[in-house]
Amino acid sequence: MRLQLAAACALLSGSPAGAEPDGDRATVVVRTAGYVDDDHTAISTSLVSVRARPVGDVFVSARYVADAVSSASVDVVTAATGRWTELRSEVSTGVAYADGTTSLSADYVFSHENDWDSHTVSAGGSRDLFGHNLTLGAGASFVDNRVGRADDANFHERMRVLGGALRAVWVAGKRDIFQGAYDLSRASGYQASPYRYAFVDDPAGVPIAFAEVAPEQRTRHAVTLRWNRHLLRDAALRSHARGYADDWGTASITAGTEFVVGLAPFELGANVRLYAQRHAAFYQDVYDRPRRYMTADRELSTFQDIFVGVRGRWIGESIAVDAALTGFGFRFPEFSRLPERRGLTAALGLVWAI
Amino acid sequence: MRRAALLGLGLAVAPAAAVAPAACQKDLDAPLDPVELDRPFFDCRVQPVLTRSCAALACHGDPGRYFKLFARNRLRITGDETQRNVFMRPEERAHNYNAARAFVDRAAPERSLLLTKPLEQAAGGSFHVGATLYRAGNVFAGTDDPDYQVLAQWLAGATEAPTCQEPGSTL
Repeated sequence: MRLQLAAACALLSGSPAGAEPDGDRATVVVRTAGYVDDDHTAISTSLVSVRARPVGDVFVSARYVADAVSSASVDVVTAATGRWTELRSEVSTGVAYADGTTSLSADYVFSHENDWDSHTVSAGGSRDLFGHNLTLGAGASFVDNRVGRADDANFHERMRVLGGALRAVWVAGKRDIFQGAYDLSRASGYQASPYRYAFVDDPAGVPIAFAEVAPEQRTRHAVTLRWNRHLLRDAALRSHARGYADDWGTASITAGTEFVVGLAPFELGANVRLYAQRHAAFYQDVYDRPRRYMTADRELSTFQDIFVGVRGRWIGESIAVDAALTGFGFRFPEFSRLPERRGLTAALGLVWAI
Repeated sequence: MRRAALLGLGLAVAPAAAVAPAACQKDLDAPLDPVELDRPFFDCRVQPVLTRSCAALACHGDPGRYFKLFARNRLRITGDETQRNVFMRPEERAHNYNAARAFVDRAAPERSLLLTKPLEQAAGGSFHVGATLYRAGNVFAGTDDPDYQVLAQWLAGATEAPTCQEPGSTL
């Protein structure tokens, strides 16, 4: 069961920004995190990753992530179904070259769930210009998803995503760094959920359920700007804004900032992120009549969310320990089955430079 | 400070402005006419199959299900316990007809959930919670089941005279 928890998962598995201990040859990261929300969903995530420099300017990396999910979300639960649990595993490996001016990378990711297999290949490169004050980069990725349905031997669908990105980083001065990025992706294939049903008003007063039908093509555009401003003696304000639009009519804006202060050997941070989205053109909570495309995906409705978090990190000579706590709230004014969702994530990580 | 604030505001607004011109696909919310399937055949031949094999109160006679069915002595649209056994009301029949048509795949009728859900997976069916509830298997073991054939005939365009009165059709 693929949950729409991208934001939360990023919090769980991502490496907090900030200094890593300098490893001569290898860095090992172990991280565990928990997620719980009031939609009866809990996730436990464990991650281990290794990055090493076997020769010169070449780096290799490998990572394993396991998500244990337990959910009774309104997305899928009816009178016929109860709480379900499953394990999601992801392995990834990559190779990179970085000589201080030019960087190249290639990665492969395989992700497995009981109803979803995914293969991702990606490659990218960047080059520093003007005395390292400007970095330009580009990347591309291809994802091949095989979509199934739990316990269903006869449900097989495919969905492929081709993506590209352009990035620029500009060191504007001693205190300011700006980043800009444009991401474009094109998804083709099955993009509905076999578990969800859209409701259509019926003259009898009892809504009729229709299996979700979504367009088979989706083109997404995103522009992201980041601004890191150094403050005081050892503090920074890291802000970002993102605009997103796709050809389903969905559009969103994201804005966030994090204040980070270094109190060696500690680093403390507090962050807030706001998100607002306009619904897809074909989304309705309860449809007035059958439509060509119908969805019950609340992530395609108009909604807003807020994430507020704190984190801390202790950085030793060869070991760093970090912890983070984030609270979040979603408001779905167009999704009557779950008008609001609140939850917490907590993460604990260990970074060891060998 | 003011310059920094203006810069921050500009950075916040610029990404949204940059993606705003993205074009939307056409006719995403176009209405879809319901699948035209013979109503007399449904009332006379399909409804008895649904009543017999699907509409039990623990199954699709449970109002919490996505696919809800009304039937005599089972789920009723109105009334108290004393009225549970009255003949099916027109609005109940109309709801069942619409609910069944909603589970029809107009592009590939043989893949319709109305046919694949109650069919054993070994015979080409879909996962169905109902097949696991009583460990008795799915409703239809194979496509040669007479009741499966009734549903398949309806989806294939079979018709009945409006006067059709199959025994049990009022149940």
